[in-house]
Amino acid sequence: MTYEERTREFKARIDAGDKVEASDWMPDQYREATLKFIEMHANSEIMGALPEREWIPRAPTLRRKLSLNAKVQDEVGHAQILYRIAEDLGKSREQMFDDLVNGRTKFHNVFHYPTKSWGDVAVIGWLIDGAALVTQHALLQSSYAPYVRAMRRICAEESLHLRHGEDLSLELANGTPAQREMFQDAVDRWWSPIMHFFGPPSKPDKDVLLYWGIKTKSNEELRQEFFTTYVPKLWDIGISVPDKQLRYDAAAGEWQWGDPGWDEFWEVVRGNGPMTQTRLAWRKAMWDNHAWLRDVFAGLPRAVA
Amino acid sequence: MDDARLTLLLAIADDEMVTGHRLGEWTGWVPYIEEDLALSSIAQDEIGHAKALYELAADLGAAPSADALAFGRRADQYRHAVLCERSNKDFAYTIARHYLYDTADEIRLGGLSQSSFKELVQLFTVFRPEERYHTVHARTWFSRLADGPVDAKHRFSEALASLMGEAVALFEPLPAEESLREDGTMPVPSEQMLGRWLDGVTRDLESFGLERVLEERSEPAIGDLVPTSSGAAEESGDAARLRVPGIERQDGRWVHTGGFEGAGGRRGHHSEEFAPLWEEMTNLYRTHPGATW
Repeated sequence: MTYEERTREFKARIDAGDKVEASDWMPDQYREATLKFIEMHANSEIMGALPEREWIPRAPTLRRKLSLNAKVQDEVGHAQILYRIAEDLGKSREQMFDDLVNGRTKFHNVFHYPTKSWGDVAVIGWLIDGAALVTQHALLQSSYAPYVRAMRRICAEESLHLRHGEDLSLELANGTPAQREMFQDAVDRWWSPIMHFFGPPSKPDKDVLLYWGIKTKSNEELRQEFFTTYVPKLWDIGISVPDKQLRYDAAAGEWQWGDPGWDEFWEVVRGNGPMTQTRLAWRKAMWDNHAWLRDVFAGLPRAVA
Repeated sequence: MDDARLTLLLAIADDEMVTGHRLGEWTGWVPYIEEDLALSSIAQDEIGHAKALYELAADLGAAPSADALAFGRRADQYRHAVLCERSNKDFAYTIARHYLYDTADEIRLGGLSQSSFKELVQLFTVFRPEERYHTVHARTWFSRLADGPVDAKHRFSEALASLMGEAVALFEPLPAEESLREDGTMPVPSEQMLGRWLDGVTRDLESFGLERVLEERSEPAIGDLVPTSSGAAEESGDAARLRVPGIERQDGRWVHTGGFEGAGGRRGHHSEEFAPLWEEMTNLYRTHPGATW
């Protein structure tokens, strides 16, 4: 069988809903696209720990300090699971980490922004994790079986995070005027990054990830799901959304939303987000200054006395 | 409540709180993912223990709530040992402190297991299974680094040497120790616990040829790598002082003979590294009095 024939057969398998295992033959394009996608997901989990972890030392109660630490720990755990799955596709974890800290690979746009108040912790826990969960649920149908298994576990933990985030948000929305203002301000600042998170409206037929069934839903379908789940809840608690055009169009059966503009999004994608360089620089410093720690695991000869 | 007992309760609770706080600063930054998970778990254990101890203190009338004790006191009202508040520096330094602290905590839990302070003993039965994992973790890393490549061994032994003096001060007698001994709250005096701990640490160090860290003091060789607003690197202190203060070798054993480096943690005297930690840890709580979160 020629490469083209095997590829056609592989594509037919995907279209029939069959799942791919790490040990199966796969076309180069599938392997590369899957690796790149999962690597970026893993990068996003480990970089996504940073904006939230800033508030572990500042958490205002013992209970919140504990739960925020556990929540961020989960995200780091997701990175660990995902890096291992990416490794099976042919790139070492060390190489992936090296590429990340040296700016050669990407992570999601929402993790390039600063966290300015406890309100941001609530918004991240509820709305950003909510947005992520919408996309992650769609990945449970992915064609790559090891990824699906990982996503089952990750989605279960993320559902818990969502409750944690919702609880934080409701506490602020029902709190003192200062707390409520803190939360509204955070929603206002994070709204564009959340819209950007789903990506620009794209042409599904041009999307290589959809073609191979690595992803199963388009950017716009996911954004619409997010609106349906979260916007009514925000309005219910009297929190506004900084998009004057946002409304549900019953006739069309979809949400109309105002274009937030995409210049900032593309800047962030290029690595020029407000916190991109700072966070990468810290992580690189940590990585480079602990090269000796990797030697401990590399089986270098031990010191003599 | 009994003021002497409160001193003991807060000394332990604040040690656990500040230790958990420092470990929590590592969350998300550890350059080895599995260890990131481990340090976060230990941080949560320590803060969980602090929470239980503060709750006991609050129940006994020391404050309106555990949070008021954790976040609502002035910096000079915290009773932890100075060792716990030192910034994390690098992984070797943090692991050295983790080893010294958790082995000491193990001795302390044992030394108080027959205490007449029943509520405290009851909490310890919950803590001990968790603390056992901390010492297993610390000892695993101890041997991995002490028996590792030359760079790892060097960094680790330098860190131990710079921390040893203040680790001894974990056992600095409490201001109210005499009355705590009389009523059976502390069946084993601090000095005796210190002796037990020093024996164990000496054995561990000897088995890896690292005994020199008991003889020569050193300054931390590295600034703080863990990014946090409370992470100012330690000022280089009295570099001329080359001995670990307070301990010396007598009849083939290391014993405590003198004072305590970094003395005063148990009386609320802290190093310059505690003020920024305290500011960061308590600011949000203090800025919104009466708010719930």
